[in-house]
Amino acid sequence: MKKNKLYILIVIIFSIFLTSCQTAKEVFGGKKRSEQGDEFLIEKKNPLALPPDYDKLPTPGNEKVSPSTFSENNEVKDLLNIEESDSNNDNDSSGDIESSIIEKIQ
Amino acid sequence: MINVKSKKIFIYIAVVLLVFTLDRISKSIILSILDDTGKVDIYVNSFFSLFLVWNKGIGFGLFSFDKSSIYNGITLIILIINLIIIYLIYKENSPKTYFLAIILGGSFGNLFDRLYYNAVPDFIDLNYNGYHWFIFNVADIFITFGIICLIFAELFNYKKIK
Repeated sequence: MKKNKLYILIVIIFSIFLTSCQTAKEVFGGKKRSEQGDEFLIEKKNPLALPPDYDKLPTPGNEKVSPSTFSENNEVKDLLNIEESDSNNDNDSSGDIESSIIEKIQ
Repeated sequence: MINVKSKKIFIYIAVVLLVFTLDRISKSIILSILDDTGKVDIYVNSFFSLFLVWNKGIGFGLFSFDKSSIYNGITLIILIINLIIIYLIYKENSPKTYFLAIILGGSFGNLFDRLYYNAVPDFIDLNYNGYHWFIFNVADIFITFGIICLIFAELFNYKKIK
């Protein structure tokens, strides 16, 4: 029996040397061999969401905007520090310059 | 007596050549696919596919190093094992020698690749549920078959003597 066991052991050792199968590292590593359809390359995208002011947008056919909405909206003017009186002054000053130029020409 | 011996030797050589030829045909088909397409990655079914890898080592990818001295050393050991098998075929006079001839044919197939390509092409990929078995070739099938038969023959012979 001892001789048989030794013979079988030698045969198994021989077989490891004679066969040629691929590395164990790649097999147990869980590495995907095929490059076709690699699920890890597919990027996950965020779900679609509506913009926050979506309800405030004008709907088609309802595009009439009343002028009062503009007249009452002074936010832009406040931001730019523009006063109505200034604009009047500017008109007056521009008028003065015009008249002085006309005088010089005459 | 000489006639019987020479007849047996002829059969052994035929077995070795048959195994070697089958292995070479399979490898040449795979290598021709590699030449045409640049790679071999053929899906056959969910359990079986063809995927070419080159093995510089021995069974189970052991001793797969780029160092040429280790590679040459392993090739020398394989060559010595082949010579031992030839000696056993010549010396023994039992059905076991046919199994040894099958092993020798497969071993010659892999040895040829080791000497010609400096690596052995493996391409049979068996897998189940994402778990892959070691990729092997036709020569490996014959060697494994011969080894299993040899072990069974040895065990059977032991029981018979007992």
